[in-house]
Amino acid sequence: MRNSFIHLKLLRQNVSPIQAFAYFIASLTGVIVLLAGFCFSQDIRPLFRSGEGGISRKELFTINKQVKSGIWGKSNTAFTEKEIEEISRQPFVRSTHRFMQSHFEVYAWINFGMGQTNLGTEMFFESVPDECLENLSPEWRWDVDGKQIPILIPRDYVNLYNFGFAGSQGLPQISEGLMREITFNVRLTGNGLQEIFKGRIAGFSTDLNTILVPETFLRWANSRFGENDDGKTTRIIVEVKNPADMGITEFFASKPDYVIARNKGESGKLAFFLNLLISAILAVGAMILLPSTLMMILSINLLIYKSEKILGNLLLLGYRRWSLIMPYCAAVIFLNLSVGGFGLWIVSLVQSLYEPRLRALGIDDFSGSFTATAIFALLFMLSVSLLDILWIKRKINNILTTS
Amino acid sequence: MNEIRLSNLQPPFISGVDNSASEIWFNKVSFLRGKNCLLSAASGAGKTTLFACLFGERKNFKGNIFFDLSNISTFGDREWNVVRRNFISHVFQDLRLFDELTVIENIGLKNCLTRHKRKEDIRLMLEKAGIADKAGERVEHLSWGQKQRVAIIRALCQPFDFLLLDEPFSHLDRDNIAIMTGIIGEEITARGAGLIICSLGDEHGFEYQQKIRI
Repeated sequence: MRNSFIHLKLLRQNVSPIQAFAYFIASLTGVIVLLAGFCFSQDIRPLFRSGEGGISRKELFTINKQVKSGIWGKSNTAFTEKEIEEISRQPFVRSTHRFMQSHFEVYAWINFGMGQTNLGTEMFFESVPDECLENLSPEWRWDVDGKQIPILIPRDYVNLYNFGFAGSQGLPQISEGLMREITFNVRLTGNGLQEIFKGRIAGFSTDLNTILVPETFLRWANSRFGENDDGKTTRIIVEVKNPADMGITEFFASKPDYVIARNKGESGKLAFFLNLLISAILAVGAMILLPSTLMMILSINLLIYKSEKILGNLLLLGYRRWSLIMPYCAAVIFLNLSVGGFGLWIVSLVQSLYEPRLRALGIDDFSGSFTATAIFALLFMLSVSLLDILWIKRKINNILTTS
Repeated sequence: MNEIRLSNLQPPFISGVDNSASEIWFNKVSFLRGKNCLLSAASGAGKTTLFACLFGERKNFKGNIFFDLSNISTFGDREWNVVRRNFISHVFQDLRLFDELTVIENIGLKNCLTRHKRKEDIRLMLEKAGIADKAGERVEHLSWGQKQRVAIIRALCQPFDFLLLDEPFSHLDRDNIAIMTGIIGEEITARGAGLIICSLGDEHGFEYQQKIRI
């Protein structure tokens, strides 16, 4: 043995391999659970990032109040400014927007030509700000001078017609492409005025269950034809930061009279439960790691207590304090990084087990989440090591501080 | 370092021993480099305590100790480290050897800090001391007298201006004391160092320029 390492032989002699092994196994168990939970949560994130298909790929949902005492009752379903302000203030809310409604009569019809019966219906328009909508087609544009109104209808209406009405009535099914080609007449009446426009389907919405027109048009039309505009808001569209945020469920649980229509159907609830599951996994990991870290700290106490005489004598021989502290720190860092490295390797095996199932759900990039997990593991194990090192330093300083 | 000066030093304990006749406690004393000093006292007078104060092991004394012009109460870890590696070497009364290490490892533990002695020099000293055959043996298997010789050789394996010896020959016979004083004498002469030796009364064959009663 080289002379410079003789003191390491002394410092090592009180190290208990059994304690080190027990710590390794305990913290490895905790780290595997923690890292697997973290890695899985990273892997499934794309599931909640956006909806599939449809126009709006943002995290939107609409809120209205429950109608309580029937259509003719006195139920007030309008939101007060205070209520809207309260919703906007919630930490999970990115932005809130109000639905604008048409305050005039709308009648739409298709003219099948000379001598043919017109097919028409009374209807209504609503609008939301364009930023709530994504992937808008170039047709979603309205000029003040133009006579053509772009309209978004729910995709459900098309499905209802094609798979419900058309089938039962012996009518032909119509593709979305064909529907976009059809123009129809729209008559707006109100405020003593009446005008006829051309309506055209500019797209289909999977998220907002209403008939939408551009906000600029509806504002103009309301100012021109609008009557009985009480300025009340009965529906709000909310864009959230993360649909899986538990805060959303908690907030609305405290507002029983609010009715929420999530644009992602049940995905919010699913996300909530998945989040809950991941939180539980992470908590279990932490619950294993906490005692294992305490065990390490107790082992350090015992080791340094048993080495008290050796440390004191080495200091008196002229050994620097850090040269007595460093070997313990290096051992702890090595042990913790081994735990982290070994844990990561096992997590990569776990990931390869569930990877095919997630691929079936359309997730195909797993490298990013593993890198994030590796960085998390490194930072976590370094943090634990730092805690251990501070403790070692403190204990050694305590025993080396002479009277 | 040329001088160790004590000024009104008071022992950090109440021993029950009458200190009024002490030439160390509550007095002004200087130890000079290049001079040999014998500290003699009965057991319990505070010889080991004095060395513990001089070596920075005990800091709870009253009064002042100066190394040249520096008051050691201002010393921190770094200063003590420099002192223990380069200026003062100490043979402890309880030796402070590591039983679990071999003789050569115990000596190497000190020598590796400053690489003051070559392997051959250490081997030669062990031969002179009559314990060369014990070099590879664990210290726990040695007699106390053999351990004392190992501790002395270890203390010589570093540079120093003062050598503190705390009853270093208590378990050695006359012949071995003569051999060890010879080795120590050569080393301190070569370095021009000062010797401060504690004894219950024996003078151990050194020539002293200063004799002090604790």
